[in-house]
Amino acid sequence: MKFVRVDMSAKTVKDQTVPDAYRGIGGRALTSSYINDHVPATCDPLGPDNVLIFAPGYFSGTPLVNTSRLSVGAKSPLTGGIKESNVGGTVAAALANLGITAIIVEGRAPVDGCWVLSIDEQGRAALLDAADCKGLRTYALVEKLKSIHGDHSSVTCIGPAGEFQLAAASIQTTDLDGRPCRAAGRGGLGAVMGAKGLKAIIVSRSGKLADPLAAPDAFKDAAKAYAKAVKADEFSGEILPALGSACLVAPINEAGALPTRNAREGQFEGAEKISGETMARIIRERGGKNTHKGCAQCIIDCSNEFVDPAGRYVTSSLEYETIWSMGAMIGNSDLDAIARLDFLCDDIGLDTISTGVAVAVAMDAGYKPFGDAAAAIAMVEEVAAGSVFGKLIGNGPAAVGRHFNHHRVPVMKGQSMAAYDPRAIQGMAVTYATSPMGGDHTAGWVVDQNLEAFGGTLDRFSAEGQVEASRATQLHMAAVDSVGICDFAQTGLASPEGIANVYRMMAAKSGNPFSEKAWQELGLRVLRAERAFNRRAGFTPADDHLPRMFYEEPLPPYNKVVVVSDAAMEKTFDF
Amino acid sequence: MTVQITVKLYGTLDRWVAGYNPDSGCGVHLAAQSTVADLIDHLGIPPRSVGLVSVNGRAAKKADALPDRALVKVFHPIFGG
Repeated sequence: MKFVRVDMSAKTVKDQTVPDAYRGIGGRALTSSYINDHVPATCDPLGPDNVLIFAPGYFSGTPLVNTSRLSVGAKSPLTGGIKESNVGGTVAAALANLGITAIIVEGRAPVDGCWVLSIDEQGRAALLDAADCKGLRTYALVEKLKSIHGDHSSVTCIGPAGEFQLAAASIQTTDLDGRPCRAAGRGGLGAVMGAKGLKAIIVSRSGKLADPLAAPDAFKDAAKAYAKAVKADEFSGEILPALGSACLVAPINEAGALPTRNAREGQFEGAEKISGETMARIIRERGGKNTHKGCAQCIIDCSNEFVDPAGRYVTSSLEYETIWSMGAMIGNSDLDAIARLDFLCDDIGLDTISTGVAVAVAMDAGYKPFGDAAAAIAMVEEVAAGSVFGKLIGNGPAAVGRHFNHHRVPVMKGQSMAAYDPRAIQGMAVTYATSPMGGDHTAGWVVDQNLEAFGGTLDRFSAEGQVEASRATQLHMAAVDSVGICDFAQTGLASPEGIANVYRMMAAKSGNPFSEKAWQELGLRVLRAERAFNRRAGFTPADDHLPRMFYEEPLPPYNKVVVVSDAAMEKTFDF
Repeated sequence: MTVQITVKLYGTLDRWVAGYNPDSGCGVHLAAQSTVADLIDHLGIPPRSVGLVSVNGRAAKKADALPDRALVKVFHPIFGG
């Protein structure tokens, strides 16, 4: 139970016992509380006053399945507000197994400095000069670091986009195969890492120092029931292993909610060519891997390895959001090109969502035609080349819109929306508009209420009930992101005890009682901290609205616009 | 009177229909005025395994009647993001 504090200005590393104020929390609750408490809200996100914090979920390192989830927090250079970016892979479990509650990176190395933080199997951390790693793309970087530090480590790193301090730069981290293909993509936190001069964090995966459980047997009983429910659920036990998150392409497209050609339409005529069903068949025929395990302690195996016609590795894992952003959103139905773009983003260190939407805005502005996959690949390569246009793409869709003086830019608080058009699912309009994160689907995914049960329990084109649904889901997800359960493994909440099973595990780890009220307070604590930070950073209620295009341009084929009022949006969080 | 329906199944729903061809889907004859729920029952798919259903490209409810020669797409429940 310790913080590893890294001062990049002084080049010092020291351990600190976790202060009382941050005991008993992890993940997003820890990162957002810490940033709100310690970062001047008006600071330059790329300056020395910003803090970059890496925190495993509270359940990371416990026997509970699907809990290798890492929260990365800072002030975002993309939104200007607080950010928590969440990622899987192996690093969260590795840190938790070393008894590390968080790594806190402060200050800033001199310009052009390039350092790596290495943490060994005893949890001892050291900053190492890594000038010879400067400029490396992530796959080459990981190979180089593995040759020095061995195979059994997790590497969390940035690519050229992070070094260039671009606002759509991701932080990549390695999967179980040691590939840097998992991304803390949103919010440009790769740029913060780059600004600090930190190229990579190498964490031993051999730690045996996890925080003890107060009641190990009770925890294991609850964890066992949770895992059983994850396996028994049709979605997490069958569909995700077969198709991965790409299983969403066909139904969301059919619902008219798949933003196409920079959100000019809600259905893509090429959707069948890029669907999860097609992807899984191609992977199978070419000898790639479906049902692939990407993250430590995962029992869902929603990952995949996409290969080319000769069976050679292209990327892992091809996911729904990327298939959308590099597919329908830019009018591209070439799955091989999408896979190439996914790999390039991982290798250069870019958020696939922001980058695909940036390309879509450029195409919408007439720079290149929609559907020109070769042009999209060239644009992304320009980011790594460091060209002026590449820096525009790497700074995300708002930067591209400003450059072309083009007003159709689907961003909220500067961050692009994800693969659910809010005009076809009104609850997503509320989440995109009001989340302190900016346009973010995981912050409050209310798609199921709007589409399932043969057409939804909410009228997806009506405002009725959408604010309430989004508010409840955002509060719940803030707690989920804090305990560090994989989004897809929430199916474990269907165990006989339901969410009370999670409360049992909270109590069994901490030794303190935990109730439904405590769960709600956890979510509230997170959102209060995030909104407080954003207010101090200058956000006002007007920032909880959507761009005009969503209110003014009816979305085919249902030809609907967002009907949730500004006043209703502003009341989503009345605290 | 009957209606002729073409059904396409997504996700892993194809396991409920023996010999299902993912390229062409499967043909079904139902009594006139049959609904989406009748079709799901006819296919033997448990309703809990169905998330979204579309009829001729439009999302449908359980009680919606099926027009002759309709293309019906049946999707699994979805979750996540």
